[in-house]
Parts: sequence; structure tokens; C-alpha cells
Amino acid sequence: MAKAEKLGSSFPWGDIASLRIRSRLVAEGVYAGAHRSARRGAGIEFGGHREYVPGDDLRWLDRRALLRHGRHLVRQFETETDRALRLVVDASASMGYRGSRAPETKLGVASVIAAALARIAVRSGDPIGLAYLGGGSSARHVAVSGGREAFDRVLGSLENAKAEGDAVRDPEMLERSFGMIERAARRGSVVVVLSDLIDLPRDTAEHFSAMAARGRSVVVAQVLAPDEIDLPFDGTVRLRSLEGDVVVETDTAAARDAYLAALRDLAAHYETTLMARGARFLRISTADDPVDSVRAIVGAVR
Amino acid sequence: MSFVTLFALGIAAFVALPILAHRLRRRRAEERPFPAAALVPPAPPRARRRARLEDRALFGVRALAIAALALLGASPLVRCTRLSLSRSSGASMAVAIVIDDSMSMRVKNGSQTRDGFRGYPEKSSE
Repeated sequence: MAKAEKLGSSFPWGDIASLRIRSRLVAEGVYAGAHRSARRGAGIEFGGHREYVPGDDLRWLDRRALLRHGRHLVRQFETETDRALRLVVDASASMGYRGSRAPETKLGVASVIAAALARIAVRSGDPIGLAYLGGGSSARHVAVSGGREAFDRVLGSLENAKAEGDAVRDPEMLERSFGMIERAARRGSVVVVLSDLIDLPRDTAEHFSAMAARGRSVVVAQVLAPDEIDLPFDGTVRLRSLEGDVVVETDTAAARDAYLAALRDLAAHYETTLMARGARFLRISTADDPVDSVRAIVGAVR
Repeated sequence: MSFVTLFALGIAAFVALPILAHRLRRRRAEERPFPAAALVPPAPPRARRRARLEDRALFGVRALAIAALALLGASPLVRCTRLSLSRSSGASMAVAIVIDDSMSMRVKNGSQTRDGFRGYPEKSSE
């Protein structure tokens, strides 16, 4: 694949160096960082009062509040913690599509975006992890860890990923990837999914939105090639899918409107389902500037 | 009207070739990979009918071209009686007018050149 050899050097890191994943959710993590934590206890920033209950550490009993209000109140603090960024990259066969107007395959663009997000997270001191949908034996999952080494591992894994696997024939593929994340991702984790969402089972949106439970922030970015966005072909063509062996012979002029409507319906289904759980959905074209795409994803993280 | 080479009309049998090409073309629509093929509806009947009409027009042009080729091979198609120059058979004849335009024809004899054109302008280069 042509995408990855220069992944670390060709991407304009300088353009996004000022970006950080700004967290608004209360996060829980194990590493010191720049995000707020749901865990309250000893820390730096005052986080409010609550009623004293037997067993509380008397060091945090607020004597001034006792004198002022006549109540036993305990001081709380917000612990500054980081939160893990979990990247999920779709490496199924359909992501190997490039089309006529894109500089790179969908997997190539998704890999660049994932690497950029990983770099931003590492600079913020956040741990990162990487999981794949499909990808066959070339897709090596990276467990959540922090530091420069973690970034190098993510980068190495993305460079070797190939578009393989058929989500239509292997519906368990989704369960293998998301089951692990749903079990392991802590409260406050950020999950970014980069997929074309094509050929995935209809209930995939529910899987995605389920991950947004327990205070996790989920962003699903649909990565499409320009040819998939507007179906630019002329005349009668036979279109063969890359997954599921679907072959359709059609007059593109007559079928274009119906295809675009089906694409909109698919996006609307994901958007509605995801927003119901507080997750975010956005669409990325492989012809777009990857810097803009990364900014859109970072802006979508709650 | 008669044909000199009747067997040349047999060329018209090749009109079967456009029919074959037409059918082969319909079977071999351009195939290309497209991940979202499952979202693309098959061409509705109306579109297919329109495609057939367009193909028929193309087929008609091709068939006419081959028929014209067969008729050309079996020529002459029509006797040119109006061009016949008082011949009993009425056959046409070709007339070629050849005029000598060489330098020697420019020699003047009095006020008239050999080619008979009075006041024929002389070229400055000669």
C-alpha cells in the first residue's frame, strides 16, 4: 500500500500542533494529564462540598463551613487526570477503495487521520490504543499505553495495515473489536471510529452508541471517497462491491438520485442513533485536507 | 435499374454483424469496483427502455451503412439518362477538358496569346 511509508514525515504536523483534544466530560484515568476526572478526592482544584458521611477522611472536613452553616461538609477536589484515546480503524476490504479523484485509499486517509489524532493525544500526555475492524492478520491491535513508544507502536501498526476482510461474510468481526473496547474502555475515554460504514450490519450504529455509555465520548467519522459521495459514472455500468459479492448493473443517470438518497438515509440512521447517546457523527471525504478532517474530529470530541 | 454484380448484394448479409455487436455490447457493460454497490438500485425498466431505443438508433445507422456498402458493390445503381449525349443506348459519357497552361501558350501573336484569352494578365515572376 502506498499510504504508509511516509506517514510520519509527509503529514503536516505543524498545522495541527496547536490542537489538543479538549475534554469537557469528566474523565477518569490513571495518568496525570490535562483533563478533569470524575474521581473526586485529594487534588489541586477545589471541586465543591458534600455532606459528611461516616468513614470520610477527617482531613477534608471543612471547619469553616461547619462554623458558617452548622453542617458537616467535606471538601472535594478534582483530580487532574488524562483520558485514553481509543482509535478504531476500519480495515475491511471496502476501505481499500480509492476512486478516480482521491489521492489515497480510504484506509490510507483514515490511517493518516488516526496517526495525527494519536500524536495530538500523546502530546497531551494521554494514553492511546488502536483497534481494527477487519484487516486480517495484518491488523495488529495496540493496547492502550502512553508515551512516545505508544505513538510509534500505533504508527507501525497503521503502516502495515491492509484492507482485508469481509464484514458481510464475517459479522462477528465487529463484535471482536467492539466487545473488547466496551469491556476495557474506562469512563471518560475517547473513542474515535474511522470507517466507511458500508457493508457493516444495520445494528452497528447501536454498537457504536452503546460505547458512548458510561461517560465515554464517541466520535464516528464516515470516510468516503469522492466517487462514493456523488456517483460520477456515465451510462450503464456494472458495479461490483468489494465485500459481499454484490454486482449491480445500472444506468447511473437513472440510479444516481436513489443512490444518494440511500447514502443520506444511512448517514441519518447513524447520526440519529449516535446522537441519542451523546455520540457524534461526521462525514469525511478522502479528497478533503486531512488537517481539516482532524480538526473536525477534535472539535466533535465532547 | 439493374445491378452489375448481383452477388455483391450478399454483402448485405453482414448486417448481422451490427446485431451481434449490439447484443455483445449490452452484455458487457463496463464493470468497476464500487464499495457501495449494495446501495445502488438496479436500472429501472424505464431507463432500460430508453437505453434500448438509443441502441436501436445506433444499430439502424450501422445496418444502413452496411446496406449502402452492398448497393455500392452491386453498382451501377441507376442509369444517368439525363447526362447521355445523344447516344442511342443512352449511356452516359465522361468529358474531360484539358487546357495547356504551360509557358509556351503565353506567346503573343499580335494582341492574342495562344490560349486565346485576350488581355490575359501576365505574372510578374515570369
